[in-house]
Amino acid sequence: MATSETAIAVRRAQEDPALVRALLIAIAFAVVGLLVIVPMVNVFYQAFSQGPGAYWNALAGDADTLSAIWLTLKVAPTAVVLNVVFGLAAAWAVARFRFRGRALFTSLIDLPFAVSPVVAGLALMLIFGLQGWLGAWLREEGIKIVFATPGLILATAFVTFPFVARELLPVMEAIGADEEIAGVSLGARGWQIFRSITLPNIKWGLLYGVILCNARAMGEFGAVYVVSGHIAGQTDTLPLRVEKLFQEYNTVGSFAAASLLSSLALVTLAIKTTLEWKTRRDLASRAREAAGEAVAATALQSATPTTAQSPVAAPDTAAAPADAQPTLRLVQRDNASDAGGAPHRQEGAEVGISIRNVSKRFGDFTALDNVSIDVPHGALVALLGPSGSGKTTLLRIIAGLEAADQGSIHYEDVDTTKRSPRDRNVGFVFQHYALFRHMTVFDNVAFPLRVRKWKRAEIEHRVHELLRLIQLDNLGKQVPGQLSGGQRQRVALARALAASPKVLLLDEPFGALDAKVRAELRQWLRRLHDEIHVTSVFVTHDQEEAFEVSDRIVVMNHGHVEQIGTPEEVFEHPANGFVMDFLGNVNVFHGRVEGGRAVVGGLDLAYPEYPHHEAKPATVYVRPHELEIDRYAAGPSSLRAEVLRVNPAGAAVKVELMVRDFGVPLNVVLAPERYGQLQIRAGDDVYVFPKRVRVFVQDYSI
Amino acid sequence: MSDVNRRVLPGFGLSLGYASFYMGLLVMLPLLAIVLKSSTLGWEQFANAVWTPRARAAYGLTLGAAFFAAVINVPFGVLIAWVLVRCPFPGRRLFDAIIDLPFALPTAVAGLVYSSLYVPNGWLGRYLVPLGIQGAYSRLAIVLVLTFIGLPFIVRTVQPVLADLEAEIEEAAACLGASRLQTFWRVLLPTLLPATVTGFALAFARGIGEYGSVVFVSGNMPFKTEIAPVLIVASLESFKYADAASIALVMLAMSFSLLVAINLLERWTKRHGYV
Repeated sequence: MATSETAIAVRRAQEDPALVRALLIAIAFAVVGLLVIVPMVNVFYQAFSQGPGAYWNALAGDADTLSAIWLTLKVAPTAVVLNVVFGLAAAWAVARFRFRGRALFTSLIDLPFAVSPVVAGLALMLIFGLQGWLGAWLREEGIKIVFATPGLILATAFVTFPFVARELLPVMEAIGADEEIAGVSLGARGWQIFRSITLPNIKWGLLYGVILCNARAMGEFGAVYVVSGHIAGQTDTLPLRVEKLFQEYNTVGSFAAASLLSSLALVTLAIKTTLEWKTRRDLASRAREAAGEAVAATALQSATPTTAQSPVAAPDTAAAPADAQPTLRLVQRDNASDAGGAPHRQEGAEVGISIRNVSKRFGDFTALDNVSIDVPHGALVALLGPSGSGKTTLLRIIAGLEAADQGSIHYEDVDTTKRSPRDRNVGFVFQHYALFRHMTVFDNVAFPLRVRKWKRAEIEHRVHELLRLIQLDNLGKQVPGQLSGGQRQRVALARALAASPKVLLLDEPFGALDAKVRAELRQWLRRLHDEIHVTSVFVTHDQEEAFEVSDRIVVMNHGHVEQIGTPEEVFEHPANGFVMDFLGNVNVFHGRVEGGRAVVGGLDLAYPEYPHHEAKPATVYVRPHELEIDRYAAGPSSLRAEVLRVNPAGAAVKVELMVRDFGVPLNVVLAPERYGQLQIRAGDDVYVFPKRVRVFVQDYSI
Repeated sequence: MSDVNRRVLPGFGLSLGYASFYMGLLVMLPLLAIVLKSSTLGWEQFANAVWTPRARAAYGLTLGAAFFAAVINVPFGVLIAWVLVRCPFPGRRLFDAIIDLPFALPTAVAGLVYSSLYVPNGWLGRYLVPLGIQGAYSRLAIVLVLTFIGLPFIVRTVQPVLADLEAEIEEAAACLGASRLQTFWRVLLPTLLPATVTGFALAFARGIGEYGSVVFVSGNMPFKTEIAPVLIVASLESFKYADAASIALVMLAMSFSLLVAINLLERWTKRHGYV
């Protein structure tokens, strides 16, 4: 018995037994029935208890009730409009900006929730009433506030004040600022952003807030009761009229009026439920997209790093005939290389973007430390580094989405440091696309042109040109939700390019895509760039991507530039251990240098760059394809090793070795032909020697 | 996100400026007027105004009735939230929508109908009054109508937390050998507790300030069924403005402490990763 219950619990842990469920539902129905449904039915029953004729007479035949209806229809919508304007302003300020006192401001919005309506009415009396602060002055001027419509409006606005803001805040926060920032980067101005991006995105939430606010405004009693003065036919709103009829023991009259208010409540609920459902659906589909992307991204991250082989790192199959003496090429760089210092200018090339001595701190964290880079005109440059290296911050500073603490940004020798992103004319492609979800593909791409007031025909022409460029000409009428990730990214790119930006900036443009699409898009981007030659910078943490796409690579770490160069330069001549380590697989040994030699475990290598007698710790790096395996010792630098594992799958054969004498595991990559000659198996004894090593002496500069 | 947006997105000064201005004029200024008005009384007069036996009885009733109503709503609110999230039945969406009726229904209507239901010849009163249960013009009447008013607060704070609860939590508990009831007591209830307390506090705060429905059902007898807001109106109608303001100040103090408590609670909840 117990076990079977456990089995059920495991299979459907969230489901209660049917009997329990039925009981729970029954209790819920009883409670809600008694508290809510019976009273609701009773309102209409009592209203019609003398028949429909009496009902009609109680409403249409009572002049005071009729005027109360009209007054309510005047007062409530006015208060709602006032609160909508406030709600939009407050939600924009709170959901989009951080400022001192933000938490306090947010709690103050809730204040009327906690203030008794009677207290609110009293407060207004104290200011506008006959004995109030402004009472005497108002009487002289002949302005009536309390005991008149303006007072009713103020009291209603006070009590219903939080509703719109409260509904909008979470919706705006959930939607996030991505699309609005994208709008700014595409050249839209304040009002344009609000009207064409924010408003369509929050429309359901806004409508919901309006409906709720309106229902409460029409039903407001306590505050209105205090300020109305109860002048029949003049200052009685419908709820006040209900009370007056009740005091007069006019059952049908009061319930008839109440039935109108109840119908209003029911209609409100129906609309609210529909809108809530729409808002929830919108937000859910956003969340789903974001989650799907995140899953794809993490899957990629976990799949890529160790197995990645960059194109220029293909094993040197022609090298090392069996009998040749290995030549050891020692490449030495000190860690304090020229990284981050003077701008790296490529001779003869015109500069497209010049980043000069840029620093940026977030609190205690230094995101960028005196970074200087020149991006040649028309080049495609990758900012490559691990997360937290400052590459995205730098990209955002180039775009003007973030302000540098120090330093300057120049586009073709024009200082743009102080310009807004709108005035810099940049194209920015966001990692999660930031496409405008309520617009079609066509409208998305047309957006930067429309906000620049292009002519209709020109927009048409330009957008089709771009859609052809991204090979999506037939999908112009779709909305982003109907596109695949790769298609969306291409649309984002077309949109960024629409206004012919001086500079194209891409933030991890392929990070959210799956591996196959990613590879295709990479090649496509490279070809596209060869066609349009716009100066481009893209951020990536994937070295393979950087190698495949870019003309030059900027390797970044801890807010510094570690090295700048062509893909081949940084791979073949890494400036330091970090670059060596970050770009692909490498075997790392820790040893020392002294007296012109580098000593690492059993290896003793000539190292004339360090002639001093004082020993220094050093790190030696050997790439897997720069190690050679043989059956026999080929010289003094050969090490005896045991084969642990052989993985012949793929274009190259991966071999794991254990060096006997100093217990160090080694990764070696062999060309398939060489593997065929050697015929090694796990457990074999072999000799291994480096064809090329790189030694980096710590804290040593010549 | 912080300084980025202010640099990039427009309208920070305008939106915050306008919102603060409007809020200051419409809400802060009137509340300030209450404080200033009550301070025109000396300390002794103030104490005399707010601490009469009649006022004390009114505070006690206001707090007590609101508290009991909120307490009643806790088990029912959690149960209804549970049913809405976990127990599919036909018409659940409609049922879900009805829960919000107390939000949307004008309080005067609620008061009107509650007063007619529990009188001796009313739909419910005809069965309850013979049993000695006076559901109209009594303290019970106030508690009943405040229970109606407060019902959505707990349901609507607990429901989303319950809906977002990951199935893994309960599956893990089940895998670890917990029975369904144990899982509920030891795993689910603690998770729902912060939301429940927040909902309770919201319902309580709403109950303290409620006026429209209570005036209909209570009978407004001093010392017996007179709540504090009614006392304010009574003072006002006899033109004792300063007295009214003083009692209002006491009520404001009660509501503010609740509001602060709710805010602290929500912050604590967020920090501990419940939401």
